Amino acid sequence: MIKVELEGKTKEIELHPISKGKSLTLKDLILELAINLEDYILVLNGEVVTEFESPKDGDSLKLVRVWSGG
Amino acid sequence: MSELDKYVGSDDVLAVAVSGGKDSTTLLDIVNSWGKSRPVAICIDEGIKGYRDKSLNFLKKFCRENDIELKVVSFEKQMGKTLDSFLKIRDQKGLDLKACTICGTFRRYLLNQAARELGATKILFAHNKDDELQTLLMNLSTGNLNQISTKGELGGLVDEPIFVVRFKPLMDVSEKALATYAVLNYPTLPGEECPNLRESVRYKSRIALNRVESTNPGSKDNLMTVYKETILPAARKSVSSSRKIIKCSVCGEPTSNWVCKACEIKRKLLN
Repeated sequence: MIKVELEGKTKEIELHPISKGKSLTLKDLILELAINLEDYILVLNGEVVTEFESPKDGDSLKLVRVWSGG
Repeated sequence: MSELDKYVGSDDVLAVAVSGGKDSTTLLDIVNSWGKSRPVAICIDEGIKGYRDKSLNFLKKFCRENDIELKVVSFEKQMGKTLDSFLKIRDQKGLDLKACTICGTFRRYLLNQAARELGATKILFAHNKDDELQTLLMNLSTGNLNQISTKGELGGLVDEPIFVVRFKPLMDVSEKALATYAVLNYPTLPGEECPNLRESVRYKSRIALNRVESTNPGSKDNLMTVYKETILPAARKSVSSSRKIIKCSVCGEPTSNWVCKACEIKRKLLN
């Protein structure tokens, strides 16, 4: 299970392999949550990471919205 | 830095348009670190309560800590009212004017004026790849070749001293990359959006482009390539001979019409 925080709300999500021998990446997880990857920065356990990172049980993922305004 | 080296000469006087937001803070930081020119930061304070005051506080602190000269130009002092007040008048009069139209027009007007008064030869804007593509989409949808022709990395008329040349060194950098950079480097930067954002056409363009990018990764890069290599040169070629810059009959600032857009909007709101 990993904790996912999105726009102030947190929920726990179970990790599962997407196919035999292939672990779930954050990209797979985001797609399952029907979230547009282009709109969020991924912060895993306090570090900014790419969507190709594979989360582990006990990890904490925060989705920081890419905000407009220069 | 390579973009700065490419377009900025040793005798250039640089102004940087800043807001205390993620893109312009990054740009100001880069230009200041570049070391070949001491930039002056110009911030237009539109007077958007609860939004501009927060980013302005951050900006003042940032400039103080980095020994950067900051000039703040106020909507209220220069245009007569804050944007919040202008929007109340707009609503009372039932005028068909988006907040971004009023704000953007006045900001560009005041930025050019302030940069010129400071003796700047170039004014740097922190528009990113997403901004540029959203603008392109908006102008394409209205068939506005004139507007397209004035955009691009280097804009503004080189031969008109009244019009300070505009330069966008971050035009090839995505908004997401800049947001990521800001999260990593400026933890106290207020990451809030303008409260008037959602009424804008730009907001809808942003959603559309992000959806396309999400389903077809690389779309934004492809679109930027076509824009720079084909659309922009074609637009510039098509309007170059017909576009003349004169002085506004009301304020004397540069315009291609008898009355400049800023004066036209002010007249609609205040008369």
